[in-house]
Amino acid sequence: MNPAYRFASVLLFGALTSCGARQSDVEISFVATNADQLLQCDDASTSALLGDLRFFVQDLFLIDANGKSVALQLAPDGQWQDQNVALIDLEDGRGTCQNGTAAVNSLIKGHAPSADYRGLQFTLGVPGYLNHGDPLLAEAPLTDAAMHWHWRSGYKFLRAALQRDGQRMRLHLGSARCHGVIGKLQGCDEGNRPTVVLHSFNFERDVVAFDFAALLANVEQGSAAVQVCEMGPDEELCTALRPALGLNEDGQSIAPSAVFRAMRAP
Amino acid sequence: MKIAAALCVAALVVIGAGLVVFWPSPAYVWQLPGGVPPPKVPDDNPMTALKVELGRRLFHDVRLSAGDNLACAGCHVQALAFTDGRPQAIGATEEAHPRGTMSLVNVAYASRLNWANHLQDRLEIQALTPLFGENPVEMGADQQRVLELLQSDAEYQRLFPLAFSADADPYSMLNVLRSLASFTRSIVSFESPYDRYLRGDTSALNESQLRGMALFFSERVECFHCHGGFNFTDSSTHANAVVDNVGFHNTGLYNIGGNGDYPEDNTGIYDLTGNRQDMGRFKAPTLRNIAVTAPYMHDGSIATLDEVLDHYARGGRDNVGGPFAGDGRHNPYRSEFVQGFELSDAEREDLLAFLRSLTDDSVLTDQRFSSPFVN
Repeated sequence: MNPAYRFASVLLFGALTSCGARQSDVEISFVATNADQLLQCDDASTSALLGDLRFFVQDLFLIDANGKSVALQLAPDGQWQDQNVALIDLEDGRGTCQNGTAAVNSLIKGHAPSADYRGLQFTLGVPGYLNHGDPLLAEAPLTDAAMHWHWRSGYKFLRAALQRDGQRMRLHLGSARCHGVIGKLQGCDEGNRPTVVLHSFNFERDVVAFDFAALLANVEQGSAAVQVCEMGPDEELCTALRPALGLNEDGQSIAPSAVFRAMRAP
Repeated sequence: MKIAAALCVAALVVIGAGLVVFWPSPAYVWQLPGGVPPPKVPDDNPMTALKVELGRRLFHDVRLSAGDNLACAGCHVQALAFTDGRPQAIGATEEAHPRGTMSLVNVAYASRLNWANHLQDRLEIQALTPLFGENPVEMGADQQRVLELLQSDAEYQRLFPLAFSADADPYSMLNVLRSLASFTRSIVSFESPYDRYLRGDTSALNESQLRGMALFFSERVECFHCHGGFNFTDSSTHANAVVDNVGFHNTGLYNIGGNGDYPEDNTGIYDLTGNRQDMGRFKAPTLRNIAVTAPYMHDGSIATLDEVLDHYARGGRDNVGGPFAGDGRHNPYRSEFVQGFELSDAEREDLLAFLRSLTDDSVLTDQRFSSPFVN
């Protein structure tokens, strides 16, 4: 081989490998729990019965050994995630989730520069510019009619329902006190996008648990048989849930949500 | 020469195919009397006769609902000006809605849709609520089932590609919504005795109705403040409007505990804004065809037009006893236009006669809006 050619190819190879850091594929798994018990729609043996759990996740970061947040790039798949937001669906329409859908998705897939990551950070929600857009022109994962809030406008960032000790609760979380018109919102006074920080999370070993017991920590047992929080102005359940979600009355995230925690993969 | 001829033929074929695919539908013809502006139509859903026809079929199709038992037309009954005669609507799974079905006559001109949603201004998006709403379930539609219906029904297989000829795959939920919106948008009519009077037919209204009209538009009775304009509602707009009129009003129907509260499931736009000033504020619906759209108010809590006049003459309703006790006349959020008034028995009869003159019999029976299904 011509020495000049060899030199050029070595230089080129060197340049290419040093251009971008190596990337790692990352999968984040989610499960539904009531304290330490895994919840499934068709498992009636648990202390609480899952009714619904679907939520959007945006702005994911992995936290490295120096405490620095590194963005997790989402891999668009035409169904559950695009590059901005992912939809987790942990109900399968069976058993106590009778008004749900068969389709499920418990994984978020993406990639990040290869590194020693110790933690995970994300926001529960749909980014504002997507939330305020025309729902009829939305693309996956924003095409599910059940996740769109055609009444209050925008999307339901989280849908959760549980039956526990003879009580039923239902939470629909989304932006509230919005202005403009549905499809062309100008903004919402209450964002209602909880942030989650898991300082000790290893995506190869751990899963993210949505813990209903943590969500309902402030809810009195023995109160009304059916409790609903759908972002209405006077819903008592909303007041009881805000501390666990880390939201204040104006819908701002003032603390990381205690509802999500790291759990060893079952 | 042969090559040139072949190229010429090829070009003609391409142009011809292009014309077939992209030939625009003839412009939709609104049947409106002179002087009435056409409604606003969204740029991304222009009116065509084909879309309207497809929408009509979907509107009357019970198979859009959970149990194949409730079409849009099930609550929006044409003979009742597209209402259902109930105080509160009942859905496909027998769940009651907190509010009553609203009329669709001239809904194309509504600047806001629903009784209490200041964010809802498009028919295409509004239809998502009755189709997919969960609390309460209205039609209980399932997206997947609807799409399967479009794929399996011969008429939809024929109509969708015709109505949406530019779409590679016309069988979409978006096109269902666009068709439904086109159909409901097409329900326009200005043929009541009142309309004919305005157009110069002096015999269309009798003396009593004329006196009633004067009362309606008077500063004493003030109906026109909220129920004014060509559609008798202040939430109204049209193609030539520069600004949309939008109005939500608290008419003093309730005052639970004396602090202005309305029943929990019907607080008006307060539910969306959280602003106390919005407690009990509901849209003033059109008074067109009001004589056939009893019972009245957002929750159907007033049975007759006579009792409606009682309510406004008093300036608010006194709810005696029960969970909603309280005198609405003292509701702190009551509209400034609802102050009460004196009305003699004769004047009451005249006003009622005028309200009855707003009934447009033609739209209640027009076959263009009726069911295309044979049984």
